[in-house]
Amino acid sequence: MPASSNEKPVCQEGLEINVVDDGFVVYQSSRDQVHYLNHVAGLLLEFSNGTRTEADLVALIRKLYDLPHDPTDDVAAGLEMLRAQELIR
Amino acid sequence: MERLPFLAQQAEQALELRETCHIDVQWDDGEYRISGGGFEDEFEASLSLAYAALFARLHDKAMQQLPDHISIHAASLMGPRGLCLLIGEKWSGKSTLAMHLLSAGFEVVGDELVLLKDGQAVAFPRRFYIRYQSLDLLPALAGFAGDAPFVNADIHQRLLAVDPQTLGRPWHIRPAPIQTVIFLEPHHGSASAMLPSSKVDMVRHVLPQCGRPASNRKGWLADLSASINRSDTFVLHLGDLPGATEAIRQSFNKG
Repeated sequence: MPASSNEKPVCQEGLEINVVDDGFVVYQSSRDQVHYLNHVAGLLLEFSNGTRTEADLVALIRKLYDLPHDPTDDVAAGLEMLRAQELIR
Repeated sequence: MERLPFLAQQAEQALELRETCHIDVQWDDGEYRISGGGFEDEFEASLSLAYAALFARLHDKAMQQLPDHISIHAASLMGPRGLCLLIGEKWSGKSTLAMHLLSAGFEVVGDELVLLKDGQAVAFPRRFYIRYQSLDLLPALAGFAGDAPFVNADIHQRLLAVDPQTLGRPWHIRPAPIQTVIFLEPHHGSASAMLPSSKVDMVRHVLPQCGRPASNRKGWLADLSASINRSDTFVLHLGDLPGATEAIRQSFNKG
């Protein structure tokens, strides 16, 4: 099933992204808040640079994890979570 | 005067001496006046409160010299590859476990505060405080209770201030990388069990126990995250002390 959006998410400015072995610790200075992301969510955040559509991100995650199918639902859920936490726009 | 040893500590420290200061405590017209150290004068009606004010002033003076350090509320002991931190909420059993580890031969260096900067962690030099009620769990320390300095934490609670050297244990405080971080979850009355923790979860556990640097330097969270990421991380469901001690010993031996 193709991705439903041609929007190109962009990581919010002013984020401090710290990578650890099993995820990401992200400090959002505008809200003085720390976010704890799993590996997929952290990669989505890092790859959201305004040049990739949701479909591009699905393809990228599939390739990185060598998945047999498009992780469409997981990527959609991840992006929705990142938007809700105001980490991407 | 007999309680001043509660404040003093004679740990061997591999740290640079940066400043000395003079602090006065004077009995003045029905109250104690605490002055000096670059702070405003304080006045306390009781000797216990005057001791507390004096100790707080010394602590604040020391922390002024370390504006870039992250402060972590943790007990600490030296392992084969660096410092092991014991972290937990109040009443998790952190200090009692630290004292049991001391009795079991581990090199415990602190029971309250660790300072971290650029991947190097060091215990804040302070005697180890033990509640009288905890001595039932620490039979090896019971013989020293009568001679140890103490302070009244409140009307119901007396804290012993223990110097590990009086127990024949070394007390050599020096900076080291963090080797292990153990988060304690109370499991009192049951067997202890220690399980590996993810790094993200451990940062989540540790951060509420941290004070950011006074300077609020950029990258302090990266410093903390990287230090935890490099370390072995565990959650210890703290029940019996011998079981917890053995679990920690095994984690040190695995290297």
